[in-house]
Amino acid sequence: MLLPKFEYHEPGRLSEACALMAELGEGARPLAGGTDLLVNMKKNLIKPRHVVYLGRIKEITSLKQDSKGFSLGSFMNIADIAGSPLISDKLPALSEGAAGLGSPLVRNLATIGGNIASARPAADMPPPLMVYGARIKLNRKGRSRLIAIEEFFTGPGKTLLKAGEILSEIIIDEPPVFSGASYIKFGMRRALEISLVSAASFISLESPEGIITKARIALGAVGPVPLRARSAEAVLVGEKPSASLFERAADAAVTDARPIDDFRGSAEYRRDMVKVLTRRTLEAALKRASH
Amino acid sequence: MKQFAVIGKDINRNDAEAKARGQALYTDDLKLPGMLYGSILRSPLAHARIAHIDVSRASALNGVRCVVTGEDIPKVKYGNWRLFPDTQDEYALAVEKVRFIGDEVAAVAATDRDTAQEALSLIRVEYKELPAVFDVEAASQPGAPVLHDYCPSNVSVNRKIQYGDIEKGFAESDYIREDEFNVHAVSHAYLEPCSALAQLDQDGRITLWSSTQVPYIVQCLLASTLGMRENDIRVIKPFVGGGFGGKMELRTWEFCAAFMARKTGRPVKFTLSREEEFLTGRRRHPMKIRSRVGFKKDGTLVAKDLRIKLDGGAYNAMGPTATFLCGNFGAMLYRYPNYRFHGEHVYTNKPPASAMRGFGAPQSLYATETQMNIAAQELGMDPVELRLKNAQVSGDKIPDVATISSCGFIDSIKKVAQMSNWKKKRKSLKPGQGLGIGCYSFISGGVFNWFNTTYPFSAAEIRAFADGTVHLLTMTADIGQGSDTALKQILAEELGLRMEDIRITSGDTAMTPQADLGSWGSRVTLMGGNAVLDAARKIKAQLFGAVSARFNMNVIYELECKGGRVQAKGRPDKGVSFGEAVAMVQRANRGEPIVARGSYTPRDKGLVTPAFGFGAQVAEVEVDQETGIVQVKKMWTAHDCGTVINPKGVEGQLCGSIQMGLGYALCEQFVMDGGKTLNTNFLDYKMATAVDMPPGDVAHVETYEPEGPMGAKECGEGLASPTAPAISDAVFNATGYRCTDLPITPEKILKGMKRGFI
Repeated sequence: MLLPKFEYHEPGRLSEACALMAELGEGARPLAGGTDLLVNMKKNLIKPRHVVYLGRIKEITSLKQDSKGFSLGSFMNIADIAGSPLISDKLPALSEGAAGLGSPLVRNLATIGGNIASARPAADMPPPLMVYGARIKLNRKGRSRLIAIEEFFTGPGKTLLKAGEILSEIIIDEPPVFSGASYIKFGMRRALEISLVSAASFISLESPEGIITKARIALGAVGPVPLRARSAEAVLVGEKPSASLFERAADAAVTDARPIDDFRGSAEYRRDMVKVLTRRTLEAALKRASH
Repeated sequence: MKQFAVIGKDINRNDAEAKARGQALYTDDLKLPGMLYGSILRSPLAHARIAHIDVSRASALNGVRCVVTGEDIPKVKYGNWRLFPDTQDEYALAVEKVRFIGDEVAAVAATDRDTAQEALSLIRVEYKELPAVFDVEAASQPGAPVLHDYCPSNVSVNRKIQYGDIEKGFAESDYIREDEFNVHAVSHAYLEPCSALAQLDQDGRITLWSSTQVPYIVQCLLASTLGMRENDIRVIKPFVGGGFGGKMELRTWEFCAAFMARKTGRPVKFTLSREEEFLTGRRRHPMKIRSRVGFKKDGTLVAKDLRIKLDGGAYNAMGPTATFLCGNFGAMLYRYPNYRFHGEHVYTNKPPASAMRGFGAPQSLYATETQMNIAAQELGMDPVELRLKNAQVSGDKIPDVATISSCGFIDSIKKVAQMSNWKKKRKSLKPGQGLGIGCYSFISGGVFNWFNTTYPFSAAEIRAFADGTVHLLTMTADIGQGSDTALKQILAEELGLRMEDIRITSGDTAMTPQADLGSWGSRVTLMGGNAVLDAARKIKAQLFGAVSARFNMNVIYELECKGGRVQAKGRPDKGVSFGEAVAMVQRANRGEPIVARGSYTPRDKGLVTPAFGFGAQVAEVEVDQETGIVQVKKMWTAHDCGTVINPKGVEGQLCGSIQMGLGYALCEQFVMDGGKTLNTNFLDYKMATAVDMPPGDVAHVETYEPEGPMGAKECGEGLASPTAPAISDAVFNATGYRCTDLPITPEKILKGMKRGFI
């Protein structure tokens, strides 16, 4: 099927894009990589009257680093994130998420902003971003707001993004010393896969041999939105890392997950995998933290 | 062994460069002036009576040139089994009833694809839904919903094989094992979706370009369904991006393209979407297999009783052949003195199953080989030894099937065990690691004339020219398997020419000699190759006569075509170049060019095939014991395909077979909700990707097949069978979970490990 008819806009600046989005209202959709939007438009699932392409906006295409941390432009494409030595060094869980997203062709087009804003429960960017405590910047005409990424998702395909708003930036604080994170995407094959379950873990240690001062665990594809496994995190904080501690945290994560049976797999198997992946990501995060 | 110049060499494929450069034209690449785009309306219901169809709004849509439904078409049923017209159960468009979700109801031709799609949404169909049945057991119970009035039992084909004394055999057995296996449907998943383009000429003739494995069958069935003469239809097969059995029948879009081209006078093209292919496309038969085998204490096979119910879906398609063959494959690998088979092909309200690489063998051999592995374990024997004890050998007679001529089965088993270091490795595995074995036998083309062709099974025409070139014409269909290259190699070898001296025209029913049954059943190398040899020998006879006369040779001289020359054997001075020899014959015939026709039809070759391929495969796996994920670490294959015509081509077939076999074993499946397929894209239909593919080693155990061209036999389909049982056995070896219902999903492995299944 060809695309339904729409008006196409190509603003050069973020302020222009916001003004356009404000003017066009509900009928407008921002277009980034198009790997989700254009597919759904071709399937006639959505028919926006206006499409606002974000790719000409230089402000949102780059990775910046300052003393506090990192800012990723929402138009950064996944292949660039996967290939960035800086991200691989400082934010390895994000690098792992990007490397396993879709196929090389999809990674060359898809953007981090698109992967967040499309709000698919199995998306690969949100879990690592959640455990890094990322915040996202939403711009509308004349103002912007900053929210924690995990608050952004309200349901499958649903977010706090309001009509006229554009996701412009992802802000991640520099992870503290003695901290580490890891992401595992789990599916039936080793490429071109959608997660059956995914998990990301972050831990921060008091010292290389010390107690866990901060823990964040995020789970994908086991609920309507990517979830924080808060009871698992509670098990970890204040304790010294050990195999049995991670095992208990993994058990707790299972209770945090809310998987369903669908044609990709059963809820029971997904729960089993939450346990395995939580433990494995914690082990990998610990290795990186105490490295 | 005979020394060859071209045979057995890694010759680059005929089509490689065109494909690599993107210059190869597939059917959907073809565009003709004024061409219309076709689209098909499909049933949303699994079983329903069509009460009324209103196409008025669709017909009135701007840009729509033609709308047809089952009411408009000639009421002629078709199906490949012309020999038994009762089995022909399909109309191009549904008449009165729809029988599966996706059954074709109407077709639209419009000036562009979007208009055609929009027109489909304007067709109003009033259905009266009927109870549907999706399971072979339920469908074959009395009182089940009936799909076809002619077949109230829903069992459309019954096939029985029996020899020896089965009861006596089991009575004499020391060990009897009975199992039920359930194997599932998988997709051919050829990368080129089905496509057909039809054009009407001034004289009312039809030319159809189609992505098909069987130009001749399409020509004949299209003629009968359109009420035209066969030779008023020309079917051309452009480059084809894979078929694997899924493109070997006349299909709705081929009929509709031709029918609508006749109605509108304009070319009409249909190309299916991937979603259509997955939702409604042909697939491998799911089978419910009950197998009982009896052994002596020492492992000697005594008896086998095999019952198979094939889930045929809504129409027969190639189901009758699959029903016949799965019974033959049940006793093709080993010597069973007492054998009984009963196969039933059952209609259900699902997309029709049909031929798919292996044609009943992957299913039947999954049961055979898994059961051999179970038996070996219970008898306390090495699975390799158990096989060696019972393996077919050259000269074995399979009752009602054939006497096996060349057979490298035992050598293949021994070789693969040696390559994989079987004995030592199997004992030294760590938890989660496993090694398993599976074997196969396969046919090199079919003998049974179900299509009821009145022509030879395969034919070739060769035109030889004074400039040293020849033109080979054959109706065989290269669908990506490389048959054009293999046939050219056979011809180059026989005439002593180089590959670049040969032009080939293939797969065009108006331009190439009648006939060829198509690319299926691993028949082309043997049958097409024999036809080429037959024609080539007739050319040689003429050349030899002329050269003999020219040099006034003693009649006892042997002549040969070698290195571009026609000469006395051992006396290259008594000879001329190939082109000069052709010129001499041509002059002697007063300018008449040299043309020879050859053919091959298997005669007195039993009921199944003229030659059998054999092989054995070992898989090494590592199972993640927490997730159940299986990683295939390595595959070893030793196989006998007779003379290897093109090693690179054979290895390509092997890699493709492992990719399909691995998918069949582990991850590919149609997820169905009743009659509806839920996974209709490549994201959710889990084919193994390049990074999922294991490395492998291969040994060609060459034999010389007397019935094959240059000693060759099949290598295209047999290899599709051993991978699943080998992987399954390796998974058992690794985890203790023995899978009897494919695919072997991680979830099943974890559950099986918890149960401690043996």
